[in-house]
Amino acid sequence: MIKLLKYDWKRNAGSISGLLAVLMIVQVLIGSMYYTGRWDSEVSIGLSMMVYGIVSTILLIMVFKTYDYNIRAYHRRLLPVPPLSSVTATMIQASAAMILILLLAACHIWVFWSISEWSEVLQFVHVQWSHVLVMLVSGFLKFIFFVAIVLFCITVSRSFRSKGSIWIGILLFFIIQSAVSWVSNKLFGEAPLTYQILTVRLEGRNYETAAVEEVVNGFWRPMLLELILTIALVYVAVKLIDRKVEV
Amino acid sequence: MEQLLHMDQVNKNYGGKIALQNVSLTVGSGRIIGLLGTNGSGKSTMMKIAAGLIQPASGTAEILGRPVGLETKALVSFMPDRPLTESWMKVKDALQFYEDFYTDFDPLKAERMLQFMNLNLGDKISTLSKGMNERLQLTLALSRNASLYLLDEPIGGVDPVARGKILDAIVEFYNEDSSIIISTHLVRDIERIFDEVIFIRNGELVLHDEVENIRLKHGKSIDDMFKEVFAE
Amino acid sequence: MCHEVSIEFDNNLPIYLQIMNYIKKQIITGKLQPGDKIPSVRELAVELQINPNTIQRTFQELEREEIVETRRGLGRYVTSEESKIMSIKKEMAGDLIQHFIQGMQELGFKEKDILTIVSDAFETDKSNLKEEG
Repeated sequence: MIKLLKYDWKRNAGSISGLLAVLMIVQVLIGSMYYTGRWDSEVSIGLSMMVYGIVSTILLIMVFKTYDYNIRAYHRRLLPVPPLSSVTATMIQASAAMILILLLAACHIWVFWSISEWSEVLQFVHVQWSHVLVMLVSGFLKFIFFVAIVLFCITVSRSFRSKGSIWIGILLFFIIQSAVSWVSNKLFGEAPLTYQILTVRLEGRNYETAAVEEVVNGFWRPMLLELILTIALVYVAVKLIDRKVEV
Repeated sequence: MEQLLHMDQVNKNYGGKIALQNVSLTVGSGRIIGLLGTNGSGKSTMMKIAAGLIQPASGTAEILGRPVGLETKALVSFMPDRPLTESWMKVKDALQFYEDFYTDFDPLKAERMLQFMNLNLGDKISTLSKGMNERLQLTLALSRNASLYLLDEPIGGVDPVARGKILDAIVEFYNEDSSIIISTHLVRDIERIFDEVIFIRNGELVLHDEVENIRLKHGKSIDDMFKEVFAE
Repeated sequence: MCHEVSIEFDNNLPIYLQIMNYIKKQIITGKLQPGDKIPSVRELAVELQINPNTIQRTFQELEREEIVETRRGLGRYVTSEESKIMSIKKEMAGDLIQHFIQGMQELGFKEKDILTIVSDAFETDKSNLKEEG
């Protein structure tokens, strides 16, 4: 699987580094507009976040296109490597892309805070690391679940030989998304959203711990459901690659 | 004679179109076999099934007694009708790719073949001519010590010089414990390197015999036989 | 045996028979001497672009006819037995004559005519040689 990653990386290295270079340049430009006083902070922060969003979306699309290419490329399909490796390799790539963007953004925020008057705001926020950890883990699992759905849909659409099969995949994606949230709601009630922990932390300077506990507790059941579904989707995708995705 | 490849009642169709119909055959070791048929006769489909790229709709395919699958991919070296390389690669990357994934890759053999084919490690694959690229694909396929080699149209669309070179390489670098199946519709240029030929027409196997038997029995070249069988 | 092998194959006939005849001819014409080593299967296969198993079969047939012998670990050699070589010569001569007579008969010549034509041809040949000399 590491070897698969090696060749995926080699194939995409050029475009990824180009994209990251563009990201850096744009962020520096936005920053300089802010510090020279031409743009105010809202515009700068808004733009900056938008650029991060766009770049991470492009990166994810690249990862998915790589997967789509790999499950149909002769030289990949001929390898004596289990199809599960292709799926997990893609998940690792998607995670790596996300972590990379998050790290860049984190550095950015740190720099931003340390040289701006915002640092004072930060002092109000009393970060409780256990909660941050819960947030990160659940966010990560949600992300993996999302990746699994996309990979599953790509695999299903490639299992059909007909022309419009891509639409089957897209349709399937929305069906699965809404079905899962509906089922989750039915089973566990209104699920808290990941970022709610963060908002709770930021808003409540003197709020009670119980509120947080409640939110955290509200997480794990839907999370478990998603985890199980992730495994199921990957399992079916692997079977499909093996039996149905023909090249 | 060991059963290198065994197919039993294999059927395959794409949508409503029949690609293979009740194909049964056995291939032993140490043979060079011509898989002959016109375009769209089912040659590639048969190879893809043996290589594990597609699944038969019904029937079984086995390599050395094992059903075609993950395990047999390590035993079969397939040169399909499209490149096994990626456009960013140099020749050395392509070889490294093979070395990384196939335990039967033979670096010395690869080196000798590169030399024989006049290929350089530093050549960029995207700049190779069609003939040179075909030579590279063959080099990759034959540089493994596989049990079964499947070469899909290795001499189609290349000039006579490259064609000669490719035939030379096949004879020179094949080993006696393995077998090679070569699909082609250019019979005349290549018939002398075959032990056996398989004629396939509209997805059906119509003839499978030793070439010398055919010449002896019918007093005909394989090319003439081919033309007769495939005459409209 | 390090000479250029050149042979025009007729794909309508079994290739192994053609190679057998080719090697026999080489022996008769002295290009291959009794006791000479003959190339390995692979060498010949590559040189002629012929299936190695076909070459193998050729050698097996030649061995069966005792024209070629295998010395363990050393390779294959042309037989040293002159009588064997003589018999190939006779066999090939027989084939040629048979062919010739058949052709002449098809042209309508009878035995006597054929003999006359042949001896006449020899006479012309001799006088030609004298003139040149």
